[in-house]
Order: sequence, then C-alpha cells, then structure tokens
Amino acid sequence: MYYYIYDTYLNDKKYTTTLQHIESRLMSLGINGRIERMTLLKSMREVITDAIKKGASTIVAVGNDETVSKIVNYLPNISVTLAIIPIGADNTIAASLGIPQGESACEVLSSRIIEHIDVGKANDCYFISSLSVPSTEEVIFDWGTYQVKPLTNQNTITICNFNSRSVAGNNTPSHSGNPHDGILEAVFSVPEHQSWWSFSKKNYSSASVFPFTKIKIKCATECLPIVADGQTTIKTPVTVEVVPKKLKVIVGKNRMI
Amino acid sequence: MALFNADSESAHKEVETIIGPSVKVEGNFKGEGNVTVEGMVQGSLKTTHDLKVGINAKIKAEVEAINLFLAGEIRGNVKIAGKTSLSSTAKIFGNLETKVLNVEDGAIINGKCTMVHEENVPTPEIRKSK
Repeated sequence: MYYYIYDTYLNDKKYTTTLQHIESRLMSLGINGRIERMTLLKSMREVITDAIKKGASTIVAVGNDETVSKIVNYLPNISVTLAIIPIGADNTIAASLGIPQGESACEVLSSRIIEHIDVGKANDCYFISSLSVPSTEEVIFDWGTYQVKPLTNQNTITICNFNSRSVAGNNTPSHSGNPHDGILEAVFSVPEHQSWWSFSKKNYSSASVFPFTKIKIKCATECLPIVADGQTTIKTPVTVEVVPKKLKVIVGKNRMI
Repeated sequence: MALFNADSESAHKEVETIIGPSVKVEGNFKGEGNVTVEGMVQGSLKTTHDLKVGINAKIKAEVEAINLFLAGEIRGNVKIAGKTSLSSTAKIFGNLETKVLNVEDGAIINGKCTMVHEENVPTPEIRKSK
C-alpha cells in the first residue's frame, strides 16, 4: 500500500490545485493510497509507526528536502520503500534522484525503479544526503589512528553520502559522492574568491576529501551543532558511520548520482 | 546520466584521498586508494596505491606507497614499491628506497638512496661460492 505524507506547508491554499492534480493522476495510474496530512501537532515518528501498522509498503514524501529528511530518519530500521513527490522549492534530493516536480513525479512513482542506497548515521540520526559541520579550527575529525584538523575557519565542511546541492548545480563544494560505494566522504573546501569579472563565484578546487566508513567528530572547547540534511541538529561529539544499502528508494531514469 | 550501477567494492577502492592545503593530518594515516597531498601530514603515511605530493605540501612522516610523484617536501624515510618521480622542486630529507627512480634537475635527496630489484639481491648460496 502507498502511504502519502503531505508536509505541513502543503496545507496552504496555493497548493490545493497542485495536490488535486497529483491525486487524480495517482488515481488514474492506480497507485493511490492513504493520505496523511502533517500538522504542527503530529509527530513524524507516530505517523510512520501508524503507517506500518496499517500495512504501508511504500511511504511517499510529498513536499521538499525537509520532508524527505524527516521521514528518512525513521525508515532505515523498517522494510519500506521511500518515494518522493517534490512540490515547491528546496527539492535538491528529489532532483538528484531524477524525480521531477509535482504531477510528473507520479509517472516515476508508477515506474517503480527501486535502488538500495547507503545512508549515513550520525549518533542515532539517519541522513540521506549530507552533514554540515561548522567551520572552526577547534573541530577534530578522528579516524582512530589519525586525526584531521582544519587550519582555517574558512572551510566549508561537509560529510557527504551524496551532495544533492552539488548535483543540483548550486554554488556549493563540487564533490558529489556516490550513495552506492559503501563509504562517506569528509570534504573540506575553502572558497577561493576569484577576480571581479567572475561575479564573485566561488571556486572549491582546493578541497580535501577523506573517504571513511566510521569517524568521530569532536570539539575540544564546546558542543558544536552538526546539521543533518539541512534539518536536524546534533551536538558533538558525534559518531558518523555509513549504513550500506539500507534505504530502498524509488528513482527516476534521469537520476544524476 | 545514471551512475547507480557501480560495484561497491571496486568503487571503494577507486576513491581518492585528497589532503588539501586547508587541513592538517596527524597520526598514522593509511589510505586504500590513491592519495594526493597538498597540505601537511605528521606521523606516518601509507597507501596501497599511488601517492602524489604537491609543490606546497609538507610531510613529516614515514612514507610508503606503490608509486610516488613528489613536487613538495618529505622529512622522513620513504619506501616505494614501484616508481619514484622527483620534480625539480622535490625535497627528501630521509632515506629513499625505490625500484625505479626518475629525478629532474634541482631535486634534493638528503639521505641514503637504495634501489632494490629482487632478482639482483644475492642469495646466500651465491655468497658462499664467492
């Protein structure tokens, strides 16, 4: 059974028509299912637990990257497939998985090309795309036998499973990662400001890349906030590890990762 | 284009480690793929693949790799199973052990350089006969 979880922001009237089109398209494709509209009072954990009890085999995140991130945190421990119907802005994860916006996503959903991809785990929090680590010289990345320390506060530090923003063409470190290789990568990028005619574009050519399966991130002086998929904040010390091929996800033919 | 069909085992081996100028590595680093160093390393640096050391890199470590291309500085003993290429800016302050050596004008080696071919190492029997 398909279980559609609509994010809170879709309760806005401006999305009513889009949702109606999507629902009728799903109906015509024969993949309609139960719809759960999130509100500020509903917990995602409870909604997903309820979905599993009701026999959901595919959970569809209808919304944006934030919706996907909130759902992914609860999926790796249960045997369900994740699908996405992206609506509105901030849909880089769906874009890199080859899922088009709105009604067109229904065709991808119907095709059911399922991939098993790696997910990252930061303490008890799962993430699909990346972790952002604050840029400070105090942060230490500990591999056990060796440590990596940034020499400047100017680094952009990312732990990548796959960098959806890079894949989607945003102005971020260009390392894109591969969610099939069973490893994560710690990427340290220092933006090099180029001359004025390049419109202040940043070049991340001097990036450092460290592949790993498990590391510990700590800070000597304070608890640093580490942000998973741009949504969930975790305080240091954080143990980050890859969980290979843990997530089943429906992807499009035009996927870019 | 989809790149989802990569075999995980082979993909793992192909991942390159890049130690850029904005980070410092301390301890016993062991890489499983090619390693490029443009920054600082202290301790030991071992890889089962190739090692490239950039012009601004400073390594204070025991180094082991299959092949080495050196443009920067290494302070420590270097053990290379294959070919060592030293560019004109290369500096080694320590002993170098390699199979093949390629040196440009201006490169510096301050230490003992040993080139060992297994075939040429005299066996105990030969030594006795002499």
